[in-house]
Amino acid sequence: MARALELIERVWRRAAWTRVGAIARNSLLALSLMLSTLCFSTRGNAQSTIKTPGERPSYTVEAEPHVLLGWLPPPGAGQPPGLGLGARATIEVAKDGFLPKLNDSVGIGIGLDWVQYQGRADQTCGRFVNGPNGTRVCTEIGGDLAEVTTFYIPVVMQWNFWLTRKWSVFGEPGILVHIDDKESGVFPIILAAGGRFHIQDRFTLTARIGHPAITFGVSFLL
Amino acid sequence: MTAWRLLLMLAGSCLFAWLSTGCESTANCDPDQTCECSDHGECYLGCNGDGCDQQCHNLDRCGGVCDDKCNFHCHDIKDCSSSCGDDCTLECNGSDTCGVFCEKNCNWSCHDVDRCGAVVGDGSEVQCTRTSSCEVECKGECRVDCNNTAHCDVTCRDGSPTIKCGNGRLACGSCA
Repeated sequence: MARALELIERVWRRAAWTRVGAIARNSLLALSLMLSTLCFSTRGNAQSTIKTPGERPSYTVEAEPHVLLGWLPPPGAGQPPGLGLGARATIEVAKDGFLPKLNDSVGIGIGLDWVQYQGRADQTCGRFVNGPNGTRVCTEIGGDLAEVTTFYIPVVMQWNFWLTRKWSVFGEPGILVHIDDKESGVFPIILAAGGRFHIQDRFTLTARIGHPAITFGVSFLL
Repeated sequence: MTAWRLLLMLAGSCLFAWLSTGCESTANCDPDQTCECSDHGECYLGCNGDGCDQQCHNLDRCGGVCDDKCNFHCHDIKDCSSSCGDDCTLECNGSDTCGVFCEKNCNWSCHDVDRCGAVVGDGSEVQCTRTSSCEVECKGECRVDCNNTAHCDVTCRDGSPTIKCGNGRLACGSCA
């Protein structure tokens, strides 16, 4: 616990020096609160299941609608903050994960997210003037504050840890296909960490923090 | 290894990945700062004052806008442009078109480009090398060196005739 708080404090201090601004710091606060909540709630729910492989809800697919907060500079033409909606479907591919002594599992997730970002006005040209030899010269920066609509298709591996009957957490490395008004492409590495609070065995509140967005939603373990 | 440590490792990895990523989407460059645009479709860099070092590469369209004493280099770009004040040093290569507006004492090198075009101020020097065509308009005295350039044209804005200095050099005002 002390090491966790130390890590959070270190990250917090460093975030204060970056230019990402208040939204990133608020997101880090949300992460620290989530981790703290997890720590305390586990203490409260003494019935730990992490060392009992298989003791968790049985399901095939996790359906997860969510809202998104785009907090980091995204791939593509937008700039944070962004707000949107999306959904994730994660199919369980290994009921027992990589660690035989722990209650872990692995899934493959695919999603579709829609996020509305502010345009990257500072990197657009506000005024072009025709130059010699058919050239065009940009003489003013900015001017285009139009919003940028971005679609994400994340494909991830979800590594779950079933901590207690009330809490589970996961890490998600993967790739991200992004399509927006101006460009599209594949972002080769995305990382996220998240957690679920099990209101019922198969119905949870779910949050994740990572690149490029933070998500809050619910999960149906079907 | 406990699940807590794993969770923290994962969360830490995410945060490390974010914190260690250079942010190139922020506002204009600051003086004496190097700003770079790459790997986007289109990008234009500004400068909060004088003395910025701007770089563009591997884009469709890119450009820099700056006041005085700036450096700008772009390469491997379809359309590149630079608008700069006095005492600027500009270079463009590996592009389809390079366009420049600069003021006094500008030094511009345009090489390995299809079309180069510039309007330069008094005391400026231009080198066009390995280009299909190079057209320069001079506002005052200037010198333009064209090497391995099929079409080289210099116009003196004051209406005076262009001077042919030899060895591919054209000038407005004087050859030296």
